[in-house]
Amino acid sequence: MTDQATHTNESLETRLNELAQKIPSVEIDRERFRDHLCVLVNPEDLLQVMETVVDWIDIPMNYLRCITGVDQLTHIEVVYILTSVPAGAKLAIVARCPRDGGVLPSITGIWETAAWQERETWEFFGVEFEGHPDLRRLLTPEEFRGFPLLKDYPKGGDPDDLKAVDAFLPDGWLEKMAEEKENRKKWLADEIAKRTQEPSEKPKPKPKSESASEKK
Amino acid sequence: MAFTLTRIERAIQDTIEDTDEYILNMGPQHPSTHGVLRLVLRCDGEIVKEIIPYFGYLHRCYSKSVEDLNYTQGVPYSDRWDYLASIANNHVASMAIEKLTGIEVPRRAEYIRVLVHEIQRVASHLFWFGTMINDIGGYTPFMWAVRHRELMVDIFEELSGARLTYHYIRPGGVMKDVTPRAMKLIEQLIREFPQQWRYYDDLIFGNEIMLIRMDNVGSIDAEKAINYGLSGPMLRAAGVKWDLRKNQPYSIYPELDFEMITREKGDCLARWQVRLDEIKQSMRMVAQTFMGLPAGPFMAKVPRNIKPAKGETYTAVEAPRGELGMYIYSDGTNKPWRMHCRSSCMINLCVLNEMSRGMAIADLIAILGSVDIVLGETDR
Amino acid sequence: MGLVDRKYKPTVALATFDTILNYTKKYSLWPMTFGLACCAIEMILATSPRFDLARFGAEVFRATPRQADMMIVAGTVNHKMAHNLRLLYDQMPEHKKVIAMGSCAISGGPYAGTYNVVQGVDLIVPVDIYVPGCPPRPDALLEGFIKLQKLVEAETMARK
Repeated sequence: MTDQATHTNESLETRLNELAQKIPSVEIDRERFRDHLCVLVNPEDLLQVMETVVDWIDIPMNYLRCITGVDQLTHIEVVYILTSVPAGAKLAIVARCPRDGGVLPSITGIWETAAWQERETWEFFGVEFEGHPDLRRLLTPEEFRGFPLLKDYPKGGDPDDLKAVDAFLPDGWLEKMAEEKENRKKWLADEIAKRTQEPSEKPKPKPKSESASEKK
Repeated sequence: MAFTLTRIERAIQDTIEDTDEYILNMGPQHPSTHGVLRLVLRCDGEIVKEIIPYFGYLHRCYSKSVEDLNYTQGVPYSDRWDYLASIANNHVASMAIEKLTGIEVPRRAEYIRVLVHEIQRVASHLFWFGTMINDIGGYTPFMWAVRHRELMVDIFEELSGARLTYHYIRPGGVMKDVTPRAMKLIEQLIREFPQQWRYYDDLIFGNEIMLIRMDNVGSIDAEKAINYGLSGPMLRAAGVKWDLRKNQPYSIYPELDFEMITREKGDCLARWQVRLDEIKQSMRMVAQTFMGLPAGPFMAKVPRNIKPAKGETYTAVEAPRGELGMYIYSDGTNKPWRMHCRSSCMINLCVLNEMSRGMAIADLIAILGSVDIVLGETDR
Repeated sequence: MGLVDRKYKPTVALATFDTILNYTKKYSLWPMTFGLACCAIEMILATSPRFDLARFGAEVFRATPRQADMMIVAGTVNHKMAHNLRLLYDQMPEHKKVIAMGSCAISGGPYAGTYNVVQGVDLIVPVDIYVPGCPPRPDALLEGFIKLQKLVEAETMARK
């Protein structure tokens, strides 16, 4: 590793320790990400953490690369990938929020690029961003009401959403999708029950959807 | 001398000062939007006051589809994001899977990957250059650009069998070794390209119309560019020295000799010059990797059923259009729990409103061309 | 065309008129620019010097449907785009043709079974020619175009 890179890593470690002391509820996780240091944050501390990292002295995290969401069944995690340009330090911040009605503060005031990426995370996961100037659908049709990347959303579309967008569908599609929706809801309820009872159990793979099993 | 308006002139003056703004729809089907992009413009006469982009007309549910497929099956879907630089998409998808599983790519495969990636960069920039001039009104350079691009497409067809969506770079290496015919074609490319470049130099680069239409149009400064998350030539044209091949190197880029191209002004002309100079640097890298191809295997030993350990990764490459990133969350099974593509084009597009305020509608076409979007990647 | 179209009984006297008229029609089919995704690039390359759609008289791509004779649906059609597709198809003047280019337009392609992709453009508009491929080579599009020309040759202005 070059001197520059070592120096940057040392700075990052110092700053992270300062952050952990300043906001005791954050947790530094070195195992999750293969190549980033990860900070786990509660929703109420997120804005303060973001404002701190963007003001760090020698490695200000001025470049927000990516905001994405992950449906972890019992809760939803929103991942923020940050970099310092041009120093090159990398950081990942993960905020956990509940599955139904999760609210996170919007960071559009700090990074302009967050505007569209937060819209995308909202439309796919249902996580509301408080203070966002314009939270509406970005990629999916405006008539959709469901959140497609949640694990209980059928791959072929929710019948309510497809009816709302007046979709051009093959015969029997809506019935098949209604059935898949029921299956996925049942599977999700079972999985959540399993995880809340035995937190150490490894998550099982998802059931094959109707269309996939018919293809076979 | 007193200057008075006649009655008719006064009436005309009143109507001119009493104008309204209007809303113009540049709908999803439009010859200059480079795909299915819808722009709603709020204009005052010819001057654009605000732009609201609507996309999603090509949203093909990538993230949801790959949750049902295993890792190897998901890589061809990545071809279809930025379909003009398909190798870059495959590169990032394969790199992300390799990082998760710890597969070590052989040196020859790394050299071949960089070789084809840089040829792809040249092909992509050529197509961009042709379509941008086509939008501005020059129809001949577009035909030249696609004709010269055909040699590169021939190379890819020899290597992978396809003309547009190659699926050549796969987790662990590349699909097939470089054949003797491909070596001949690459050598022909390296030899002939400087001569072809002279044609463009004569006709286009010093063309006064091009310079007037692009100079001081759509400027953005360095701090705003970083705040808006821009990447690739858009960021470097604004003066920010950030190129993933230099700042966060991957593959064998540290061993190659090339320069990072930056400009200061951040307008259309700066972006134009950055991309054209990048073509020259890419051809240098093509020559270096071609001459220095080591012997060895072209694909590592990859298990048939790729099952990474639980964890997540974010990997990014410098694609021709910017930083193309891939976020994977693996839950320990052979199907990914979540795969997300960080799209350079979508994030570069969000600065369009900021850049186009106060510009004429004709300038908007030049700005949109210089942002260089591909809707497959914007919408995934 | 409207003056003579479908007015006369089918007799052998119309055969020569049919041949001449269809010859002119098939060499002046103007497509509408409806490139959506990756197949659009191959469609554009079909007009490039190497494959040259111009020798069939079809290099004049009109952006407005009112001036176009045929629509090449090149790429994936979404539920968001589907209504626009139908609107544009309805605006085209009669005796229009549709080529469904690429597997996404034929049946949803690699995106079969997803929530936002229409499973084949023939659910929206009637299709005359299907050109398979992902994406089909420009040569394949040219072959589809020649088949379309054969369809046009077989038309008649007689009353059915």
